Amino acid sequence: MTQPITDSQTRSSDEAFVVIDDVSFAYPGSPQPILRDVSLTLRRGEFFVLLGPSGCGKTTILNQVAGFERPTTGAISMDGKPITGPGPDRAVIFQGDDSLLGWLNVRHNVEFGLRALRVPAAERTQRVRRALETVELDGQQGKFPHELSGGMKQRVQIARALVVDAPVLLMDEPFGALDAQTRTNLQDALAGLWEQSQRTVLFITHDISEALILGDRIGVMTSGPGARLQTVMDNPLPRPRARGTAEFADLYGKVEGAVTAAKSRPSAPAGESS
Amino acid sequence: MNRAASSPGHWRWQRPALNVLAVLMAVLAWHGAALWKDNLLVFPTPLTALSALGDVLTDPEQRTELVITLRRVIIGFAMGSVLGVAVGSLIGGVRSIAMTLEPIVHFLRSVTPVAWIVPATIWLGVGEGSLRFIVVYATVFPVIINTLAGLSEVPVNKVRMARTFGASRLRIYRTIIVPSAVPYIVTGMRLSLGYSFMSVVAAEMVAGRDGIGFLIYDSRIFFDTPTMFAGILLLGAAGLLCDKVFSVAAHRGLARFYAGQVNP
Amino acid sequence: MSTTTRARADAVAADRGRRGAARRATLRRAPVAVAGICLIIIGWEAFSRAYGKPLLFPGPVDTGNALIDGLTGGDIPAASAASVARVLTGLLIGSAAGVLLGLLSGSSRVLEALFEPFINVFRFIPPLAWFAPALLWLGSGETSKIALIVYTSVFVVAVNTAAGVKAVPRNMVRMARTYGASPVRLFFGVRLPASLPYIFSGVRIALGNAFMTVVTAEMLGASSGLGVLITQGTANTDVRGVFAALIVLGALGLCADRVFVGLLRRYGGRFSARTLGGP
Repeated sequence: MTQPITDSQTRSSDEAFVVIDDVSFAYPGSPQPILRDVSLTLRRGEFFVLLGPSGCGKTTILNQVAGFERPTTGAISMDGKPITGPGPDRAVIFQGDDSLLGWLNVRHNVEFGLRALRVPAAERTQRVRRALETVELDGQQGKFPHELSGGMKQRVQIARALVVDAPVLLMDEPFGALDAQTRTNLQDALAGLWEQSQRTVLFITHDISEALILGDRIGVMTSGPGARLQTVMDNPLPRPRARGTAEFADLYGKVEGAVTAAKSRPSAPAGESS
Repeated sequence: MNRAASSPGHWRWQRPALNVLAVLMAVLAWHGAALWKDNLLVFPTPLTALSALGDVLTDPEQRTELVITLRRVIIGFAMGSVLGVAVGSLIGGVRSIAMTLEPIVHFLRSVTPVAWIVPATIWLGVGEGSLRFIVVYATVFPVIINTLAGLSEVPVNKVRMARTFGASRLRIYRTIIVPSAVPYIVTGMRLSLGYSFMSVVAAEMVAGRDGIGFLIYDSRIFFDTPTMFAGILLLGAAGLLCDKVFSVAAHRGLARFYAGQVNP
Repeated sequence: MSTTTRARADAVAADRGRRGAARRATLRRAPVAVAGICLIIIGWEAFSRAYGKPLLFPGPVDTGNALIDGLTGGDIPAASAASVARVLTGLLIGSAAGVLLGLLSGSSRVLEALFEPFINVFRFIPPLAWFAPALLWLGSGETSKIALIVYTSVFVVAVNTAAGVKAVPRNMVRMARTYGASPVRLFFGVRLPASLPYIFSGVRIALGNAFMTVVTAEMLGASSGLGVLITQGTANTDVRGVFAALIVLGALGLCADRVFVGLLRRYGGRFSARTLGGP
């Protein structure tokens, strides 16, 4: 299955950056593959949203790009170099809060990556302060994760990823566990943040309107196991985007149609029932 | 996604193989150390310990020791558990009583059971009564404390559901709160089983005239070190077996009280 | 942002309110509890008087007198110091060894499979079973008693530590690897602090076991310690001194546990903000 690379009205360049080439993935010893023949090219600077039902293997794709897991067949490269493991050029914002270190305060949590990368102390302080300002957490430096709300915890994770200046941000349903209002706030904040920086984002979600607010392009997955990438749709809505406009509703309908079509289509070839 | 699913298939036989390998290495090391020390009275070889174990299990006089110790453990554990659940659910139901008795329970739990052997022998005489008192004492408090902990975790929505049907407080306590505490009670009982082994051995050594604890302590006088080791091995095996039997039986028999919990 | 902060503040305030209400309810019931305890003590005294042999079954008054005598100018302070010193030494060595063992077996499946059979069997061999061999190998001095306490602590701590290492959230480890953390940083910066709550609860259980073991070891043979005071009661057929020693023993055990939990709450709270419970 090849991707039709269409021109879009997005801010991103057409330069291929992260290339996922014909990737399949199955756990060793398991006959059922999680992913089947997924090919996808992320362009430098674009915001790509991967949309699909839960359990379809969206997170598996993200894990492969992050380098946590290796494809069973196929290859993934970034800037022409193959991805062999996790690295600070691809910062991950995890679903849930269990990647925050409970025994460190907000400032030290954000600083973690800089320390691991051996950035000098003076520079660390400055960069952490700037990152915390960006996510509007500058007043909460000394608090510990258990003293923060869910939305604030995700902001800490975003700051931790921003502070290392990673060219790629991988976000795994980062707002999935938040209440609707907080989620809306964070979506708008993230959209603003992204517009100011030149980062490539791979964002996983099952929420159509989240995909519409954030994505330049939206990839729709079929349901798993043996999930495939069904289609990739352009999102021409002008930024800053607003929910509830006629164009938004129109596009929502189209994407929803694609999601429904992807669900009903049998994902595995005949003979391998799930 | 979990560790087991992502682990390679050959781990299935590697793990028991490594278990066996470790035991073999330890036995060899033991044998080597014993040969090097070259004094069977101080440090027997695995073989002499094993043959002593055979003697303890077959010799008509010593054969009964294991049975005697196990009987003390089982009777004391059963009495202590029943008493613990009874006291725990009685005082857990009434807050004022719980508040009165809880500090006393915590205090008594902090007193080593074996320390009671002295007053117990003075009151009950040297013999079965004192030993049973010690084992019951060792088992009752963990069960009480865990029962109380379980009762204080009130399943709010289930209680509200029962109240919408007009259930009385006693009925709610009996049909909802106590059953919800079962997993806690089982945990307490499993702890207690361990304590009953610990205390019965100590009590037999201090004030017993038979049993495995006495056998171990007594063989010291005759420098019968192989028998000492046989007793130790026997205790380890018996303890392990009792724990496995208890946890399997409890989780099979009480499976429905664990509904919704993964891997009880 | 402001809405979430406000919501959070409201939640905290509500939580505080609930806790305040619970505390008020406790205070209301406190007189009942105190009265209940007084009633129990009066009952004990009455029972002892009815029994009529204060040497065999002393009441609270006789026991209190024996306790005061023992504490002021008696041998209770020296005996307590000897027992506590043994407990602390053994616990320190045993916990350190247990943490090391647990970290090793929690981080490597091969090591875990190698340690597994021993941890499983030794867990069920009571410390006192080793008393006779310990006397034989280490003599009747301090070493053999401390060795028993080390034995009673090491496996509990090891099992808990290994469980803690295995329970470190996978995303935490992945996060650290994303930023290129070295194995040393991954271990000391993530795995070890993340397993501290488990280690602490293991040490807490070991503390209780240590008190149990030390007294029995002292009863079987020592020159000083609370266990010795208790066995002296048998020789004299005087339960008053035994009761006094038992009270000191219970108080020490209870205090040690409370102090341990208190220190954890005070200094270790952030390692275990959600995991440390218990009374």
